This record gives sequence, C-alpha cells and structure tokens, in this order.
Amino acid sequence: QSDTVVGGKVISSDDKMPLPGVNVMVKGTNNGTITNFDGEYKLTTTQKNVTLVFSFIGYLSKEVSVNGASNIDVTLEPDVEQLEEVVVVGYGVQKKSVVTGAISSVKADEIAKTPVPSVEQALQGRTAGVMVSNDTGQPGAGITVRIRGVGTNGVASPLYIVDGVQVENLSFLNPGDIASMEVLKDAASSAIYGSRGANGVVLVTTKKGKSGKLVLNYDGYVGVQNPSRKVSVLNAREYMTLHNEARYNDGQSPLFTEEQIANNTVDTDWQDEIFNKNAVMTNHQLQLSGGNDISTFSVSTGYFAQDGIVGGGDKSNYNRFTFRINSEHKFTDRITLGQNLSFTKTNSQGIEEQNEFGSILYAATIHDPITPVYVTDQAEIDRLDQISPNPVKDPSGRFYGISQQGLREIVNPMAALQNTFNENMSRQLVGNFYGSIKLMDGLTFRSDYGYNIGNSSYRGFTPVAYFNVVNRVNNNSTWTGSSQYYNWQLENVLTYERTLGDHNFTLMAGTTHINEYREWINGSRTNLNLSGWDYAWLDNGANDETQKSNGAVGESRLMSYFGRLNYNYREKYLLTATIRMDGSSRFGPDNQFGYFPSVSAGWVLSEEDFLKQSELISFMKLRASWGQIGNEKIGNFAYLSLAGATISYPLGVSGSPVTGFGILNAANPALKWEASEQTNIGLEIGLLQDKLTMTAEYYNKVTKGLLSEEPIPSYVGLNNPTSNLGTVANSGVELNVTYRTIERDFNYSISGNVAYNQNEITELNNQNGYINSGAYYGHSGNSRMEIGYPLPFFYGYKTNGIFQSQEEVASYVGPEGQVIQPDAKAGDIRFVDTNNDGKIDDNDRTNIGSAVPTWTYGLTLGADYKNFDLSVFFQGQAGNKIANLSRRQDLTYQNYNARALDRWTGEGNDFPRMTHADPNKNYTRLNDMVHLEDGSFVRVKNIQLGYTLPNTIAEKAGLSRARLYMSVQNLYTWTKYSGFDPEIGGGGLEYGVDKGAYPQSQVILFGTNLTF
Amino acid sequence: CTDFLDLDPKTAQTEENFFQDRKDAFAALMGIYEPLRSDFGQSYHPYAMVSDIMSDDVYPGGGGSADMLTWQNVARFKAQPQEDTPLAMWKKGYRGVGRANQLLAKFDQIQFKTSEQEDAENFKGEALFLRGHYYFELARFYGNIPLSLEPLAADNWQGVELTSADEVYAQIAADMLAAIPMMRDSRFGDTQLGRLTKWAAMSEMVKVFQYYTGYYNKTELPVAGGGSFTLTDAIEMAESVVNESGHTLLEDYATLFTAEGDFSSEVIFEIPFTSSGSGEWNDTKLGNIQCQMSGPRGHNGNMLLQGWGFGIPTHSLYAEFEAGDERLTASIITGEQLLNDTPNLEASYTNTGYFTFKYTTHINRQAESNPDLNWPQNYHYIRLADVMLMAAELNLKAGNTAAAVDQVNMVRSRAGLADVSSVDLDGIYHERRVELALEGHRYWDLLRRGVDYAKSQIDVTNYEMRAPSIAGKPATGDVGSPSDFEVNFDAAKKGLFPIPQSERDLNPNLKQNDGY
Repeated sequence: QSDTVVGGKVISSDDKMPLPGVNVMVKGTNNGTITNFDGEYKLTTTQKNVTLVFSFIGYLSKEVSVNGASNIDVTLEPDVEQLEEVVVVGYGVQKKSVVTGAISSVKADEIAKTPVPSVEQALQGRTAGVMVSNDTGQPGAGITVRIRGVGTNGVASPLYIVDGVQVENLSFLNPGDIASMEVLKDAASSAIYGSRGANGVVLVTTKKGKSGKLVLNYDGYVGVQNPSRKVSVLNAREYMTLHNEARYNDGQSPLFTEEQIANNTVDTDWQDEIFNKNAVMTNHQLQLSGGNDISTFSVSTGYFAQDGIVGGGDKSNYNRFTFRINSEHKFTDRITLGQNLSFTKTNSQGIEEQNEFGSILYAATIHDPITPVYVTDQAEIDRLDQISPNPVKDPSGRFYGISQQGLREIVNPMAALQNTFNENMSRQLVGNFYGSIKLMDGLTFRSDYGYNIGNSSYRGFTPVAYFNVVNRVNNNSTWTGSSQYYNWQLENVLTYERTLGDHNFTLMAGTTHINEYREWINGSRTNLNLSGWDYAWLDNGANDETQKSNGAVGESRLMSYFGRLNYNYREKYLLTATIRMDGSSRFGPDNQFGYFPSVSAGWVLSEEDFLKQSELISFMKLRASWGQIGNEKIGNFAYLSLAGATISYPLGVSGSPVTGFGILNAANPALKWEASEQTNIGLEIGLLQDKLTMTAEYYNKVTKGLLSEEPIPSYVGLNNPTSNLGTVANSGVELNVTYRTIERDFNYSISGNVAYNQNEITELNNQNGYINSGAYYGHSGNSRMEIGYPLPFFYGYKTNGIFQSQEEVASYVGPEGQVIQPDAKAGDIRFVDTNNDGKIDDNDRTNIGSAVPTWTYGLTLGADYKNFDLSVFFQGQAGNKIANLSRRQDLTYQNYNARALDRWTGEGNDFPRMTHADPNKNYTRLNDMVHLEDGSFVRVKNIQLGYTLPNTIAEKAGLSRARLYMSVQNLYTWTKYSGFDPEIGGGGLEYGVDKGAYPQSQVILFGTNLTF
Repeated sequence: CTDFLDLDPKTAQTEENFFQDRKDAFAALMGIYEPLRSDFGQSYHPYAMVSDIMSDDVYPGGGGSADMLTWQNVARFKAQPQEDTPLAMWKKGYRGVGRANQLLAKFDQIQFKTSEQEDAENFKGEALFLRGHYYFELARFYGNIPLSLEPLAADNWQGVELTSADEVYAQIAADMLAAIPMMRDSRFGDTQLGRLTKWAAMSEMVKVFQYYTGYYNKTELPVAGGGSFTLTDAIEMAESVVNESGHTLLEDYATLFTAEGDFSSEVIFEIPFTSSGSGEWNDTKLGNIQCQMSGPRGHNGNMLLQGWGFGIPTHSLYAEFEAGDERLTASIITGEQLLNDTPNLEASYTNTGYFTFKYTTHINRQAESNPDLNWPQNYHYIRLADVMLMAAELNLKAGNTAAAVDQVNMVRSRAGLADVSSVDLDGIYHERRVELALEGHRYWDLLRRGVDYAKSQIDVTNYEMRAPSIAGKPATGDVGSPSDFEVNFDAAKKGLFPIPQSERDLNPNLKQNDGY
C-alpha cells in the first residue's frame, strides 16, 4: 500500500480567478486540506479510487473521482443563491438585495484590518450615520455610540443584541470573535425590537464553525502606545511673566522679581511626568473551528492587555480574558439544536479624569511649572518631615514637590498618581441555547433561551497623606462593592416561508419575555490597622462604626408579542410590515403597553426590463420606510411615589442616628413610553458589475415623549422626576460609496461614508421650553436643551471681539446711551448685549454652539499587490464645539493653556488680556471666545501594512496561511482644538465638555494572523 | 398574563402604604428634623456661620481670597445668584418644608393607638413648628418666598409665585401658635433629647416677632387665619419661657461650649451633632462642620486642633467685651494664646489674630475616626440667655424699664459683671453681641434695627492694619491688605440673598430680589 499524492488548482467559473481557502476532502473520511492563496491544493491518500469533495462558501460543491489521476484542476460554479450577500435582520437573515430597511453591515475581515480593543470601536467611521466616540482614552473606558444623532437627553445608546441575546454593551466581546455586525438604523428595521429600538439596534453575530477540516487560527499582536497629543501650556518663564502681567494689569506689584525669573531653574513639564512612554498593548487569540454534516463548532480563547498611557501599568490598565464556544447540531433532519456561550473576565485600574478637582490630567495642565517634581533642598525636606500626616513620597522615599501657589485640589500630579489605588473587576457569562424544528415544509418553530449572568466588583484605597495645606488625608480608608446580575430572556418564534409562483412570502410571529435582575452591596471603612493597597479590605481594623455597608436590589421585566410579513414579487417589488407590542414593568399599570408598527417597501429597478440589459447599472433599488419604535431605558418605579430613608438625625445623649423616612422623589404616574417615529428613503446603486456601489439615505426621525429627568425647582423639596419631556427631531442624509477594482496582481478599493445630521428640539413639555444642565463649576453658563435648538447646546455669552481701547469701551453703549460694560478695560471681551437692555447679565446668555457634530465621515483606502496589502483609514467629524473648561478661575496662580500667549497686549490680538481680578468676567462667563472651541477633526485612525507569506514558506511551517502586519493607530489628527483630544463623548446634556479627559493614545502594533 | 409585569419595590414603600401608624409618623418626623443639621448639602454651609460672616463680628477667613469663593462673595454682599451659598440655604429650608407638608397632609390617615395619643399630638405640633421654623429661616434670608402648605410634586409647582413676606410671617406665626399647645412641655427623656418642646417654639415665636416687627418696621405680627401677635403677647411668651420653662442659666458660661453644655438646662432649641455618621464628605456625616471650618490653620495644640481657619472674629467684636467679662475667653482665643500653647499656627485669609473658641476644634471633642467630619458639638440655636435678652428688649420697648434692667442683669451677673442700673436699646444690643457672639444672631440683630443701621455697623472703610502681637508671627495680627478687610454693605440688596438662579430659570415667576 502506497500513498498517492493528488494536487491541482481550484478556480472560479465566472472570473477564472484562483480560489483560496476551498475545502478539499476525501469523501467519507476526515482527510482533507484547503487551497492556498493561489488556489492550489495537495492531498495524500492511501487509496487510488477516492472521490474528492470541493466546497467553498458561496459556490456549489463539486465531487470529482480521482481515478488514479495525480492532477485534478477544478472549476467551481458560484451558488447564485448563496453568493448574494446576506444580512442579519431581527429574528432572521435576509438577502441584501431584498432588504427594505436602512441596515449597515460590518464584516469580520474589515474588523480584522483595524485591531481595536473593543467591538464598538470596530464601528467607528465604518458606516454612515453611526457616530462612535471613545469617552476617553483610559483603557477599558466607555464608548459613546449614537445612531442617527441624539434622540434623547436620557440614555441614547443603541440596543445591542449578540446572537439574539440583549445586552447592555459590547465590552465583554472579543473583537476577534465577531463574524458580522449589523446596524439597524431606520424604524422599519428596528421596529421588530419595539420598545428598545428607538436609538437604533446593533446586531452582533459571532463566528460559527463550518463543516470540513479543522481550522486553527492564531491572531496576535503586540504594540506600544504613546500620547497622541499634548496640551501646549506655558513654560516656567512664560508662567511667571504672564502672572506678573496680570498683576500689573490689576494694579498690583509683580509676584516674581526679574531675578527670580532670570535665575529660575525649575521648569516642570507635568504632562511629561505623568505620561507613561511606550505603554504596552497585547492581544492573543486562538480559534479552533470545524465540524461535519451533523455538528459544527467554534471554540476560541483570547487575552487582551493594555497599559494606560498615564501613570504606568500599575495605575491605569485593562485586561480581558475571553472564552467562547459556539456549536450547532442537526439532531434530526427536522430538528436543529445549538448554543452560544461566552465567558469574559476583565480587570482594570484607572485614574480619575473629567473632574476639575481630582483629575490628574487636568492637574497636569494647570499645575504651576515652577514646582519641582521632587524636593531636593535639605532644609525643605526637614520641614516636610515634621508635617503630620507626612507629605507624599515616591517609592524611593523622595518627597514630591508641593506648590507654593495656592492651588488647593490641584496637587502635584505625581503625588496624586502615587496615591491612586483602585481596581474594577467583572465576570460575565452570556449565551443562549436554542432549538428549531421544521413543523412542515416552510414552517419552522424556534425557541431560544438566552442569559446574561455576571458580577462586577470594585475596591479602592486612600492612604493617609499630606498634599498641601488644604489637602490632607488624616485617616486612610478603603471601599469595596460588588453587584450580581442575572438576566434571562425567552423567545419563541414561528416562521413560515412560502413561494407561490412569483410571489414570495415570509411570515413570522413571536413572543419575548425578558427579566433583568440585579443586586448590589457596598461597604467602606476608615482607619485600617495595616496601611497599604494590599491590606485595603473591610475587615482590616476594629469592628467599629466606620465600617459601613449598604445594598439593594433592582428588577425589571419586559413582555412582547411581535409579527412580520415579508413579501416580494420576483425579488423586484418588496414589502415588509412589522408590529410589536411591548409591556414593561417600568411604567404604571395604565401605561405598561406600547405598540410599535412599521412598514417598508422597495423596488429593485435593475430587475425591470429597461435596466436589465444595462451595461452601466448592475443593481439599483429604491426603498422607503416608516415606523415607530420605543424606548424604556429609565429607572424602575419612577411612576410611583416612594417613601425612602432620609439622612439620619442624631437623637439622645449618645447621639444615636435615627433614620427618618419621607417621600424623596417626585413621582410621575403618567410616565409612558418614549416613541420614535422615523421615515427613511434609500437608494442603492451598483455600477459596472458592482465595481462602484453606492447607498444614499435620507431620514427624518422624530422622538416623541422623550424620557428624561425633568429638573424641578428646589422649593418643591423633592428629587427630580422622570418625565416624557418633549420631542426631538433628527433629520439627515447618509452616503456610502465604494469603488473596487480587481486586477491580477494589483487590487485597490476606496470606500467612503459621510453623514449629515441636523438635530433640533421641537417640543418641551415643561413650563419654559428649556432644560439646563448643572452650571459648570465657576462659570456662569451651562448646557441646555431648548425648543428650536440642537440637543444639547452651550448656553453662554456671545462675544464680539476684544475692546482695543478704552474709547471702544466707552462707545459701546446701549439703547439709552449707557455704557454696556462699565467694568471693562482695553483687552477685555466685548460681549453681545443680546437682549439689548444696555447691560450684560445672565439674561444675555444664548446659544453659542452645540457639541453635536453635523458631519461625520470615514474614508478607507485599500490596496494589495501580490503578497502585500495596505489599508489607510481616516475618520472625522465637523460642526461641533467643545467646551474647554481647563481653567479653575478660583485658583489665581494656575498654569494656562498656551493660547494665553496670544493674549491682548495692545491693539491687535484676539484673546483677552491677562487679569486675575477679571472684572469683565472674560473667563467666568462661558463664552465662545475663551471656552468654546471648534471640535472638528480629521484623524488618520489606522494605517496597516500586511504581508502574506508565500505558500511555499508557509507550508514548510505547517501553515496554510500566514500574514504579518504592522499597524499605526491615531497617527495624526488635524484639529484646531487646543485640549488633549477632540474625541470626547459623554452622555446627557453634558456632552462635549472637557474637564481633563484621558487622550487617545498613538499605537504602533506588530501582529500576525496564522491559519493552520 | 400581565402578572409577569407586576413588580413591587423592595427597598422603599409606596406613598399609599406609608403613613400608616406611629412608627411611620415618627420616621416622617425625623425626616423633617433632618435638614436642621444639614450644613453640607451644597458645599459647607453651617447656618450660624453663614449669617455671622455678613455681620460686623466675623470675617470669612479660610485659606485665601478664593477659598469658598461663594461665601467670600456673600461676606462682601456680592453674592451671585448662581453660586452655592444662596442655593444651599434655599434647598435646606425647602427640604424641611416639603417633608413637614407631607406628614401634615397625611396626618389624619395615620392610625395612632389610644396609648399613643400624646405622641400623635407631639408629632403634629413638632411638624407644624418645624415648618414655621424653616419658613422663618427662608424668609430672613430671601424676603418674599414661595409659600405652600400642601406637598408640592412634579405636577403642581409650575404656578407657584413669591408670597409677600407679610403673608409668610403670618403663616409662620399661625404654625407656631398652633404648634405650641400640642408640643411637649417638659424636657424629653435621654433617648429622645434633640426633639423640640413647646419652650423652643415659644422662644422662636418671640424671635420671629422681634425680627418681623423690626426688619419690616411693624408694630405687630399678623397671624394667618385672623388676629395678630402683639408686643404684649411677645412679652408674655418670653417671660413664660424665662420663668416657667424649667430652663436655667448654667453657672459657668464657658461650660456651654464643652460636652457638658450639650443638652444642658440652658439650651432651649438644640441642634444635635454626633461622631457616628458615614464619614463621607456630604450630609451623611453627622458631625458639626462648623467646628472643622473654624479651627485654626496649621495648629495642633493642647486646646485646639487644626481646622480650616474660617470665621475669623473681628477687632470690633473683641473690643466690645468689657474688662472683666468672663465671656471673652470663652468666646475668643488669640493667636498669641495658641502659639504659647504650641508653636505652630498658620495665618488665615483675613487673619486678625483672633479665633473662635465656641464651635471649633476642641481637642477633647475629637472623634476617633474622620475627626474632620465628626465634631460631635451640638449647635445651641436658642438658649435661655437669648430669651432673657429678648424679653428685656421687648420690655424696654413697652416701657417696662425695671423688668428690662432685671433681665439684662441676670445675664450680666452670670458673666461676672456688675449690675447696671439702667439700660437702653444700645445697651441691650451690646449685651446681646457679647453674650451671643459667634452663635449666628448678630447679623439678624443688626438687620432688624433697619437696613441703614446694619450698614452703619457693617461697613468697614479705611481699614488700618494691626501689627502682630508677637513680632515675626504674622498669625497674631492682621495679614493681607486693607482691601481684604473692607466691607461695603450693599443697601440696595436690603441684606437679602438673591433667589437662586436655577430656581428662576425653572420658574420665571420668582422675581429676583432688588439689587441683584
């Protein structure tokens, strides 16, 4: 018995191109291989008369008898049915050509091109109308996803569904596990999810196994991260000079003498100090998949670790371990059983950010540069040694420098970093078990039980410390907490497919029950017996009254019925109608149920005779849709008036705290569903055999009864109620264009998307037609939502240049000749007297810009030549403002952003003069000159250069495919913004406010994809 | 199968099944008391200090001109409507009012057992009185204010307008007069100390009369629902407290500000603090933040511990004490004394070399954990000496000079001073100023003699800096520049706070006070 070697090449019948990755199996055995990059295969068998089975997704399988031949070339015919791109829709899949809603799709290969830590980021810039911004650059930080603008000042994030299971966010997913992501943008597509779809729906499908040979993939990369940008601030000399100038302008003597300025040797760059150079980021993933005609499976495990660019790996980091197993089994011809399961464990540590008091990044930009990082003067060391509690030292025992400039909470950023101890952990199990049964031809019943179980916990520690005169911690303390949740859902769906001549029907009906349950417990204590992060546990100390705990439970439920009809005539005229009825425990008995209908229609013009023969137009579809969807993302029991515990009152000689009770929250019994009504018109065109494809959409989305916290006056004496507040209209246009050419050795593609969105509040049901955010610390001004304006906008003072002279101040007069700004001096801002009453006060505040971008766009350039591939990805937005609140006006001797160098010093400059007294309130009145900056940016998000090893080399290493790549992320950002990073997310009204957010890092990665 | 959607809250009761029995009523009553000690609801705002910094007794102090900027502005009569201080006092008062209205509105549905009838009577009386008390605080700070006797909720606040101060005071009088007969007439037992008796209500009623008739220049106080409360009524009530309440002056004035002073026989309206709160930087700490704020900066001695150096006594207050007045050393401690005790002391902003010795960081009151937040020193809002001096002033006004002299002398003799044979209004003001120094009364005393009088006392111009009493130790004298100490009472504002901007943003019916 001798081995026979069979080889050959597999090509496609339509373009005669080689097909890589084709499964070649010896029929009836487990012996098999897959074709290499050139479509070639080689197989050893022990018998001469065997049959080879060639199978490949999108092509019809082919069986060929060997009959002793050693070379068998095969041509595979495309499977017209399968080749059609398929998209996942709610409760099913549909051929893309017959979809009538606005759905964008991102596939695994696109995700693989830009290695990102989290799944949401894989959507960034990929599809029109989906805005993704990292809240901050802190590892593991939240991500803001907005589909077609902001429709509410409440929770505006979309509904996420992973393999059918509803989840809060996608942070538990390993991007490498994703097969595809679909974004349902219009109401017609998302209405099948009814109550939860108002902010759009993101459907995620994870990778499944395929029958055939076992495939083992390894994907991994390692990279280094550095800050992508620094904030330009004053150096020591500039700092001293400008503060002297301010004092001079305020009629005071200089603070720093000429000698001090000339002889100063300390010029600390705090940002350089806190940034962690070359912070490491690594990812490893192994995936094994395969199966046979009965069972298929995919198993993967992944490990991702990222150190933060601030403070080093022990202060800011994120680690994620993931494990997944998906399988599906044909139990009988009629019954299919399957399951998806993923386990994720994350650990992270972080530093405080976005805070005027505690943010280390904020401190690094406004801490004076004339304080040294470490104290070296022996007399000063001796003095500090006498202070109790002891000032903060670095691990080698050096005292950190303490500013003499009265900076209060803005302490030495290195000392603050040194004393930052916290840890967050989470463990999450998400999955489902499903079965489907073919009841009769075309009729399928599917039942699916999904679960999302997990817990998260945190722990923190504050050591005893002296930072400065007003900032000291006399007692150490620790706090810890954990929450467990158990969410389940049960879905039963009946689907009936039928073709009657040219009429194709699919009818679907189903029910969903969802139960969400969470309980939590927190504890804290002060005065630990043993000090230090390792000992920061609640039991470390006497069992005294400083040891506290609290906890509670929350539960909510949802019950739904839904149905859908899909109809098409010859795949030319298309119609879809859906209805869903949802009941939620979050609303009172009278308002529990909401009804969410939709209807959509399409016309595939390219199927019409007049276009069928067109050389130019290969595909063309016009579609329109209308629908209503809901939102119920609010707290539980907001409709009820509840009596809860007040803060205690101490009674008796022993001062025992006695808990009081009272109605604490204003209830709203009339609370009901928020409903979003959306109309969408779309056009899809494919030209020149689909080399050029284009999708254009127009939408008009009106969110009515938006659910939100309604501010009520403090004289009511209750916390704010949740209300159906008003109506927000978002309308816009989206365009996706892709051009790709396929040559023999050189292929390239250009793919761009751009979206324009206009957002406006059209109705507010409260007294005065607007709602304010809280005032920004130290500023007169805030964010606001108001009828006729975008949601939200900045409500502050409009400026009209700088007074260039005292005469200009005197000649700026009101209607009755009164000087409008009597306190102003030359060099101060000329505020616009918007109400024309001859003075500048709170009533002159107005819309000075919105944080919501009107334009978002992305552009991907791809090319491959022989074994090299290159992709460049740009992403950007325009039309939004950022409120750069990087000054603490109450701290006189803070450092300033380098914009201060352009201050007014005589006629000409267009930034206000230096002054501490600031009688004109240049800095405390939120205005469009000092605070608001253009938030537009274009970013080279990713560049990736890959090289696929020639087969001859790969095979020697036992690989069927090997690719190496290098990738650079956030290489460069074009922006006028003077803060750390124009990419700032955030929720609710306080959107686009920079109070010291962690910037995105610039990443250089080296990675590999290996297939065995 | 909509049962699936029926869920009940597990950690809160609904309004329907609350307010059932004595236990619920008592819990609701504690909810009404709670804001009395709320000095940290909106940054640090201890009630007594907020008014004292506006008077001629106290400078704001702190770490620098920007330390507690909101309150530095208040002290210079430049409060901004959007700042914390106006909002803090507003929120605190209305939280109390709202909870009192809740209990009062539901009171009749609560089932008290026969044996609980006395409790029921007391609870209702205390709720009524506290509503009056909170409205009195609000009316003094803001003038015309929203007045509601029913609970406000999400759907009925919109039409609310400012009620004139005359009507507000009439309602305060009605609430207090109705409360007095319902409240307990003797001291509560040890476990309930801190609850208020009718003597507290009567004392404050006299205070309300004095303030209203003084500030608004009226002869009597109208009572909502008819009638009025006259000078004669006020005298009768004050003397009833002095003679019949069982409250007595402590033998030694200094004892008032020690642990023995808490719940002592002299204190009529006591606001308790304790060291066993949450230890968190908000109102759930139950200690007296005024103590922490008042403590001298950078000083850890054998009498006082370090604090934040707010609330610096003025030279004018120090000079007000007569020679031999025992109250001086119990009220004020000098930088020199502190340095003699321990050689460390940092100057405050607006340092004068004086520090309060009343509500401060007394070392023997230091808590074991989180001492910053846990000073367990009660605030004596009204004590018997105050009522005696109010009685004297009312008697003087009514022409009962002899009674006035007697009452002043009762207070003086306890302070180790010789009797006076006659007294005039200035004399009583002098006595009040030194007797009640740094206890939160002076500003209101000034205002109730008229805005012009207040201005004449509060304004500081051409300030002359005093050298430190120990050379080379700046903390024993004035620090800064004269402008830091100069004050210009803005008469246009009539001594009132601005209505908070956030309230006016929500309800434009609330007309802003004059001068803002």
